Amino acid sequence: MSARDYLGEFEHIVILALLRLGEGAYGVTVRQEIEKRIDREVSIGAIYATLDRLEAKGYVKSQIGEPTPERGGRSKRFFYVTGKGTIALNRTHRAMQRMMQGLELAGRYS
Amino acid sequence: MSSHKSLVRPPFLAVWLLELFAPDESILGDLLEEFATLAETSGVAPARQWYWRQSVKSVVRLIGTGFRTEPWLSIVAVLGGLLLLRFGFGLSLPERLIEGSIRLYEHHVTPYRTPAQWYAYVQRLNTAILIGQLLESLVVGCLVASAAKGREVIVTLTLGSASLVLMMAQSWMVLAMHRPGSGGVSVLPRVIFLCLCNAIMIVIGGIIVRERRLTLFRRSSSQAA
Repeated sequence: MSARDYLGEFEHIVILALLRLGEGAYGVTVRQEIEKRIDREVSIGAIYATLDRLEAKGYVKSQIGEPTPERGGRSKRFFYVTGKGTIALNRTHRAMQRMMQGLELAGRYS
Repeated sequence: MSSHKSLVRPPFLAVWLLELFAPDESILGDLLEEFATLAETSGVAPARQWYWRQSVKSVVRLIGTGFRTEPWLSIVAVLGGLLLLRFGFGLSLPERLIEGSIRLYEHHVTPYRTPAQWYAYVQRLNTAILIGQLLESLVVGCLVASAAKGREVIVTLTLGSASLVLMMAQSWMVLAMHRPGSGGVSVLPRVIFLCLCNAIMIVIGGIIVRERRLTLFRRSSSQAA
């Protein structure tokens, strides 16, 4: 991982949702958490596309659960953030904070 | 309530569409779970609308992601498919088989023909060539989809689009070489239709392989359960 690997906007949101949800993070809960927090309807395809990309980068890991009848016999795929993912999140936050320093956004855009 | 939940089904077509592009079954399980809850709280019609909206948005997103992740797999599969279409089936096996059968049949049944019989014979040969070309595209679609495991439909969609563009460009060049008034332009709609049919057959090949894999996966899952 290079020091320039920052998270994209939606990657950032998804990782934060995973951290908020802890062990119960799977497609449905991640989607609902994001909708509840940022008030934006997101598709399950967008969530999985981002999670797959984060998994390929090593920021997230997934585990297949047991199939359940209410899901038509399909399994849940649980996600959790890896140490590498937490480092990337912190790096992105620090970069954002440095960029925000000295700006008076509230006064300018209110 | 649980019996009501089990009776309500999401739109079949939306489920089928999503199955074609979803990399794994968790997406379908997640959508079904949310659909059942939504049908219970807001009613079946809004739940179906929501399912359709989610499916279409997800398919668009999954197609886009399919191109970006593992781009080499898509590029190699598409290039392989184009080479197969151009050179691998240079002998045009399905075309030759059908054409050969017609020739053999015609030779034994009507060795001597009137002009009308000749015209009918040429028409039959043209139809045979068309069917052969479509079969050829279907076979190439199946072969490419077999190589692109998990991305069958995305890869065949790309191959279909690429072959459509190439065939159209090739046909346009051939027609442009015709002198004005030689009738080249009049066959343009037929050429466009043929190119489109070939591209669709490639995608159908991908869908057939995907469906076959899904059936085998479901069978093995139910046996394991």
